[in-house]
Amino acid sequence: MEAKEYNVCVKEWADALFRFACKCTGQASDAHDVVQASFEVLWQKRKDVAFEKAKAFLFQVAYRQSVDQYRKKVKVVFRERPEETFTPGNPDLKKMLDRALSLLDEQARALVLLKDYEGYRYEEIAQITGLTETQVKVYLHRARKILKDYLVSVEKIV
Amino acid sequence: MVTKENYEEYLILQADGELSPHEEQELLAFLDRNPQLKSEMATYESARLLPDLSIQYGNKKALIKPESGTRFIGLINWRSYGIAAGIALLIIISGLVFNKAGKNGTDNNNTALNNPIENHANPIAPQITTLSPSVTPSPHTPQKTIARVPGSATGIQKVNPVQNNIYAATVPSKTPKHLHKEPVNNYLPQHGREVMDAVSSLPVAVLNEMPLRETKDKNLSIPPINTSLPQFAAVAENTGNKRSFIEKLPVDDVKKQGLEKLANSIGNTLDQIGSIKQEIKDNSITLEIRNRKLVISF
Repeated sequence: MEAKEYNVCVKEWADALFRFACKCTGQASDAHDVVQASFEVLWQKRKDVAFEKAKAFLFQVAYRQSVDQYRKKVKVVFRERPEETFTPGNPDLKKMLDRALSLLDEQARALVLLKDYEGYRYEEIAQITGLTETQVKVYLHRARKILKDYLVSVEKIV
Repeated sequence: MVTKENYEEYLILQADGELSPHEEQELLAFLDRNPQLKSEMATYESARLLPDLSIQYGNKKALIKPESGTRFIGLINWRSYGIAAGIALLIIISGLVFNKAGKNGTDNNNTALNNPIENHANPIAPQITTLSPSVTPSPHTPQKTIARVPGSATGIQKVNPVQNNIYAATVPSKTPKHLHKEPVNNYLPQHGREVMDAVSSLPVAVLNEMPLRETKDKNLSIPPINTSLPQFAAVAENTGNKRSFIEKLPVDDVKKQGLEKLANSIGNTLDQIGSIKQEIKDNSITLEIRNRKLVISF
């Protein structure tokens, strides 16, 4: 991959990578570092990474960095997410999904984001995360059930 | 096959878009048979996340790397570039003119060219433009003229260079016999003949780059020839006081001539640049690249 193609990667996928990292780490500053580190690794490995595989490579690096950062922070500081109360006037589905996403562990969250945000198939997610396709399928199914149950519980409250 | 035990897995696979068309048909048929499960299917569909496109990475420029081979043409300071190009052009032209003047100066030693014997009936003098800005380039290397003096140790004496004008007969060293057969002053113009009359009784030999000795014989001293320079006089009249500075310079005439020509060339070039500049100011510039036109008006 040449510098020109690398710059295309920056223009095309920096935003998507940042959104993914934001949801994974929960902090914009951490996501910023993840994106910067991911592209730096891509630049260093550009001779070995084909342009067609660059996006998956970027998300692979970002996934590892995000999970590592999240786990590191959880070890240092335990922050309990404040429980928000739902009122009938606040039935925003997007916010509910964000809250439901925070209930997932970092790996399941990353899998859901890769599936929903980027539309990767199970096989591609397995390559990015280093899991087997069966593991991806099982973890994603668990995550989907948690999300669905959360939405159902909220709907019952509302 | 979709059953009540595994239908949830199919619902999730359907929400993830991982079902094959055949499996999808099976699931839809199952849901038609069990319509109470359609709401669960809708819940799984709604549980999919959508990216928030308002979140964007704001520091992309820091990630961009320079691309090799990329050329940027700056048109913002094109006036500065134009002036710089004009100055560079002027320097190049001046250098060329100076070189030419220098070459003319070396050729302007009034070296007489001798023709082959078959052509010696025509004197060479008319072919030489004495002290002219455009001198016929000599195919031969200028050689020094020496006079053979009887009784001297070597029999060779150097002819004193003539002030202002040097009329020297240059004979190709490959044909020295010509000198013995034909008088040298036959090849010379009028002033050259005057010079050579002093040594007419002596045979003349030509040696290339041979160490010379000054003559002690006063009879062989060549009187200075004051030749008017009509062409350069005219130039001097035209240029007036501008050339007076050059004339006062403590250099020989050949270099002065070169400087005068250089000054004339620079003056002409400046005039041309001024006229071009005026044309650019008066008119607009139109650049046509392929099928696109760029018109710059002032």
